[in-house]
Amino acid sequence: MRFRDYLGMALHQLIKNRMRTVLTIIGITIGVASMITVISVSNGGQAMINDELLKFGTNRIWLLPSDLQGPESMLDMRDVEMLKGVSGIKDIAPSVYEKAYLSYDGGKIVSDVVGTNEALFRIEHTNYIEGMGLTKNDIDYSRRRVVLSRDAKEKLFGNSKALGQKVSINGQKFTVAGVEDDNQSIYASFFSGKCYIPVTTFKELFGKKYFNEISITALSTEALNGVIKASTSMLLNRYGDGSLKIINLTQEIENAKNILDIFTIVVGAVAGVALLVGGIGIMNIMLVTVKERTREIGIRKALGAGEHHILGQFLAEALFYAVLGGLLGVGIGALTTKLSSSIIGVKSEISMSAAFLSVLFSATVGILFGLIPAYKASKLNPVDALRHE
Amino acid sequence: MCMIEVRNLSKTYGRGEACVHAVKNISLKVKKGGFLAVMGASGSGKTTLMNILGCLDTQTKGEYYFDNTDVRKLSPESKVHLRNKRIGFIFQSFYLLPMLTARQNIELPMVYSGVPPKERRRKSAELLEMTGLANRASHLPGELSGGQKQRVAIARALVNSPSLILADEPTGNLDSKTGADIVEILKALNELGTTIVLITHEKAVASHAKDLIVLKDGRIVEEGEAK
Repeated sequence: MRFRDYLGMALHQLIKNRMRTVLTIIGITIGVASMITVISVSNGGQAMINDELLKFGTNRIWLLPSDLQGPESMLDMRDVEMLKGVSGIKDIAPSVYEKAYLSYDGGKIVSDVVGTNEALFRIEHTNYIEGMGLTKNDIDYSRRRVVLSRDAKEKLFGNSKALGQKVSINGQKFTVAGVEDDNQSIYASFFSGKCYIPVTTFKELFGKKYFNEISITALSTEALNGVIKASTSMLLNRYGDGSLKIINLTQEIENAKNILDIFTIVVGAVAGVALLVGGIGIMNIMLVTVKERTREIGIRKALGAGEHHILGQFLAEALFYAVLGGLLGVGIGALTTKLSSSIIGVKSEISMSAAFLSVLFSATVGILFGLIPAYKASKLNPVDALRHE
Repeated sequence: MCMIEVRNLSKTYGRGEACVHAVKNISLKVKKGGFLAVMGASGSGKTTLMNILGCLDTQTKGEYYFDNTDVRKLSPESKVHLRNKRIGFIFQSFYLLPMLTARQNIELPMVYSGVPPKERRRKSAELLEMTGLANRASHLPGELSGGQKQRVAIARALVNSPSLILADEPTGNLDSKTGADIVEILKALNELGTTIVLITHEKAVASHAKDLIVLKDGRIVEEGEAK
């Protein structure tokens, strides 16, 4: 008997019992569709979170006092100078925050003012609508220059140009050096102030000599761990154990990935159960089929079908159910992936490997669950089978 | 030269009190090219005997030589091969597969013996022609009359050119005229050299055979020429 004959027989049977076929494969279809959707959407989510975090740069490290409310007597210019000696560091930017009144031409808003240096703009890959970021000279000479966020600019200037105009910060005149574009990152709002002025000018204006945080970037991802180690031990040496908090996005990415992995495993397990139930559905219908077709099995045996022929015939049917269900599941999974991605707002592609594995898995399910009914059929005694009504 | 040789054959179903002796101590021979009719009332053991002769069932006691081969010594696969290539079955209720067309039914034994599709098609066309069913090839059994169904079954039995045909009440479900046609086909086959064992309870049908045995309660009670 040829492979083609097995396929032909199975297909024939499935087409003759269309309703039964549809009902039988539905379990597998749902299982595979949900498996593919879960994997594809969570892959998409992972890629999106990675992208977001990469906007900040995975090479970036935040150093900040562990007690954020505590005495502000940590992190000053001396630390920045000391950190410059650490090898593997690319940029160092201190940040210090204060709320202040910003006013221009009668308009007045409350804004976060960030005192920083020119390096912060490189670290954050800032884009500008107007002008540019602060320069080294602005810092060195404590110039009264300010970079506005897009939001602050629109509140004060509306649609007119801000570059070169003078705004007041707590009554002191500052020249607008640039306007930054919105940072697209979902994390932007946690960290970015509404306007930036030179850290040196900030000290004159608000009298604060300690920083809220220092950001550093490493030259490369490979240098990252060395940089973290060296800079932390340098600062801990000065301020004592436990005084500093070190935040690095590699860790954040790892955390995000872990959370997504757990999500994928849990939902994937549910989909796996659906596949299992689908498999049991196939087994159930195959047992019924074997019972129904006992006479047919007897006839086939009388005509010279061996046990392996009967086994093959019923296994092929079970396999067909499973693979058909699997393929349909891939199609529906592709649709639901598209749909749910657009609802959640995640860009996701159908994971080809997930599609392939799901079909392979459902084929395995079909064979495993088809095995018992097919074996039963193959072992039927031809005389008893022929006598069966 | 014997096609079939049976010595002291017995078949028992069940055990102890519920034990049924379907066939008791039967011995018989059918020559190559022979035509044996087996008669008997229902429950006389005819079908049990035929199942054993067709290697569908195994005797409890006694010996059965098929073309000088001891069937007891055959592996299950060899018995399958025997049923497929050397024996053709014709049943009272035709036993056609209802979902397959006449042609597909005829081709089925060739599927199991691994005949290539082209060759199957050629052979089934030849047999459809021979049995006068050429214009019924793609009909399902449900669309055929009883006589047509039995002719499909005969074509199917002949498809692998068997040396023995076992026919169990082949006319039992047919009217007398159609039944007579079927018997004519069997006679013609026998004249071409095929050995035939025909089970029937109709004397008129049995009279077409060369030899006759009559069974009662599992034993041979009468033996001789058919006429």
